Amino acid sequence: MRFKYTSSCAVGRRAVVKAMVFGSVAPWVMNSAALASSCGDRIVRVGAKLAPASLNPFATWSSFWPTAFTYDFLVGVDAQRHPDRRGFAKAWSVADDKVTWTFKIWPGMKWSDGRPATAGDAAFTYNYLRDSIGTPNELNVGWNNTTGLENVASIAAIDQETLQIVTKVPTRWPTDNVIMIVPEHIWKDVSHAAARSTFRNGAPLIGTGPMIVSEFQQGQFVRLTPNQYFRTGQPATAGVILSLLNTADSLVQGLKSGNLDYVASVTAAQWADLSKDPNVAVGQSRIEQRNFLAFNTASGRGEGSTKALQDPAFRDAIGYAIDLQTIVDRGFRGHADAGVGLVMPAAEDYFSDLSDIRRRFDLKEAARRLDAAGYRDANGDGVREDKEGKRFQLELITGTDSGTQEMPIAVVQLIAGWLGQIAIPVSVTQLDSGALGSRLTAPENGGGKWDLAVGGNWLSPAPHDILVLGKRGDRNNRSYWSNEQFEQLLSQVDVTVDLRKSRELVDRAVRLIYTEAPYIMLCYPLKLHAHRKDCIQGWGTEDAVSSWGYFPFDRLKAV
Amino acid sequence: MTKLTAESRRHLRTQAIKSFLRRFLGHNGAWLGLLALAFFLVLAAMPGALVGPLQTAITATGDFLIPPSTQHLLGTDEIGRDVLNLIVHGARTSLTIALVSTVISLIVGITVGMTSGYYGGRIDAWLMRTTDFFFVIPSFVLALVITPVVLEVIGRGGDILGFRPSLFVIILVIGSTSWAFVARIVRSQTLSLRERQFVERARVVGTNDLNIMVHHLLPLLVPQVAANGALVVANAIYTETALSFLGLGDPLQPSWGTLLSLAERAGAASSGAWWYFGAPGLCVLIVSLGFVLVGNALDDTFNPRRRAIP
Repeated sequence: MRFKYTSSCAVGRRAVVKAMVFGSVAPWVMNSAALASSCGDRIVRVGAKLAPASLNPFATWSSFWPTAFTYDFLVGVDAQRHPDRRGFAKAWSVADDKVTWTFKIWPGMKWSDGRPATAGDAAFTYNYLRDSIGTPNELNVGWNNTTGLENVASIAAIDQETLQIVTKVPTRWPTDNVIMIVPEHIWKDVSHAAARSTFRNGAPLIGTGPMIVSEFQQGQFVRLTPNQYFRTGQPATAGVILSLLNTADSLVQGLKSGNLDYVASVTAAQWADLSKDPNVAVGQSRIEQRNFLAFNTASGRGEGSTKALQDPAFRDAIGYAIDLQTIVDRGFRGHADAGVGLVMPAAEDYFSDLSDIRRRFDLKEAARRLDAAGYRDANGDGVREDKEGKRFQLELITGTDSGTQEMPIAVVQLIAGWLGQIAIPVSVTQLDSGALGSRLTAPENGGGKWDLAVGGNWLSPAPHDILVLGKRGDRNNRSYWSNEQFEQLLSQVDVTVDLRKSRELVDRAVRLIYTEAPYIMLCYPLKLHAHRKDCIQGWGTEDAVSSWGYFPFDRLKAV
Repeated sequence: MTKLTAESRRHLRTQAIKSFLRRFLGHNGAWLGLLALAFFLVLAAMPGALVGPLQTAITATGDFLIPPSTQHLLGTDEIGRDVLNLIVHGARTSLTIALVSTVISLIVGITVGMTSGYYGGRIDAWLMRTTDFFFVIPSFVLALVITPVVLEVIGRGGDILGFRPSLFVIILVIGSTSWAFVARIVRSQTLSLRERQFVERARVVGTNDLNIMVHHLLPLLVPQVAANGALVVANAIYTETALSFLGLGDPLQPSWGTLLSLAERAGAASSGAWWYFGAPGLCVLIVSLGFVLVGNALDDTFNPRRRAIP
């Protein structure tokens, strides 16, 4: 009896072990089968390193994906570049007075719940934001925010299909803004206080975009279903699943195994590896991100460890010690454009290579300029001193700003190395995006007390956003630099509609800030992406998935 | 007479050390652990002589992420640096952090534990509640919170006692978060030791408290402390690796944790660059295993209850 008991126990244990072994192997074995079946259901699987916290575009910056597939912009970036990617408005024009804008809304457009989507909804969204200006609950904390609305005199729906915006001064804001148009019948009951914080705007959403968020599991995935009332017809695919992943490794493993059809932003090493895979197409596209080295030019509160940082001659000399091409070649493996001025190459209307005033990499020249500016190594200890006779020891802070592509640490190593070679020692502190953000805020708000910062930002290609890095008191001005002439140019740009005039003003401002050198632009990284070719077709050619809207989720098809 | 006692005492001590070594080295684990540690200590002692100066992004010569070859024995990383070079230089950082922070944690742990056990009463209660605080808070999480704060406060460059500030902070944080269990062990041992007759005798002849603790109690605590210290080192290496992996290390001074973090950020695992994350990972494993083996062997040697009866 006893023997029998033991033996059955042993068999049981063996069976458990066997089951465990099979269990762990099964996913590998099943993989190929799962691959084939995932193609059949016509669902587009997208992976991204994202962490949206809520679906309320007034309360968060972090949910551009997936809400950009559900809500439309009135015009925005994509609609101006591509005639087939219109937003809420079908057509638009500006009167000769340069302040009266007329937008034609798509006739007969419907929200995804079947209700008519009209000019009234667009007017509601803008007025909802505008009414909050100056109140304690001003809506200025998320993607849909009040920036630019202070220049608007009136926003009104003339009829169901016509929206009129009158601005106080000539500005391109009515077409350049990227405010998501939300349905009046949902949002009219939401107070500003709730929209700013507690209202979560739970799934399923109601929008006019091609793909409607129907399920949102924070930190896991977002399920989107096709909008049957979409203005150009219901999208052909059965929906989108956006997987919210944490690491670049899991993204690419998903793509390789066929669990994902598209991944946004892969690393250079993965890109090189994936380009050898016959089932995968890789691409790189220009985005509006700028990576820069900022000097802390503040004086008084929040100033850096030395007054030299406030001296343009010092900053200019440092500019000669940075080899932008090596940063591109070593740090980004060539997947970036070398830095020039404030304008990124993606903003084709305004880009200029500044070839007549550009600094060239030359450590001897940098050293000579430092000597000439009075920053010598007087006591011969191998480290330069500033004008007060204090040894240089600069603190460089770095990290990846939220919403931007990863900053390779090699960039910081290179900069610290070169500055060391011209006898300016640098220590590096790496921070996560939250800590980096709080140290880079304006000194009035408790930021500052660093010397150099290597960071990046990704704003729109509108001229105001291009120049905002030098705007006094702006949250994007990481160097705390301010200049009267620059402010004047910027305020002129803000009230200029004519492209040629605007271009000229931007160029003057860019040259001014380049010679003053509060920033050294390091590079404009390219977005590296990859998608599978075997299940879904219809991806974009230059950029498989737009960074500025719903494209191509309205036109993807199963193979 | 005195000369004779002195000589016989020296003789006794040599005898004791000899018998300790014989028993200690009788464990195979001890040999393995010591060999591994000696190997890595040599690496850490003279990285320059073995693989040349530390390669940086500026001096990197290799191509990107090439697999191991005769030119690069452990391949290259994503910016073309030789991984072997980084590993050997990283050994110095990692081992320094591990050993120095262990010393800190042992000093704090022994001081707190012995004071608390020896005096008892209110002092004991207060010190032990402090210890409890460090016990219940997971040391890694505490380190995660303290590190950026301290870095922000003393963030300025320069060096503190020869370390870069960020390295120094990591050492300090690991040291100050891992002493709690040493303190507990030392306290319990002290509690039993202080009731022994030789302590009574010392007190009667007028020895003060400090002398009793340092000269009479401390030598008897050494076995416990040594055995547990080896485990603290292994723990410190893990914590350092984890902190650096999360990007809190010093990017200019590679440690094994920093390398693992860089490999993860470069997507090495999914692009097939096994050498990039495998090499530092294996080093962490071997060194921690080495310390654990030595610690276990020490424990077996000192602890009569665990000694195998021949």
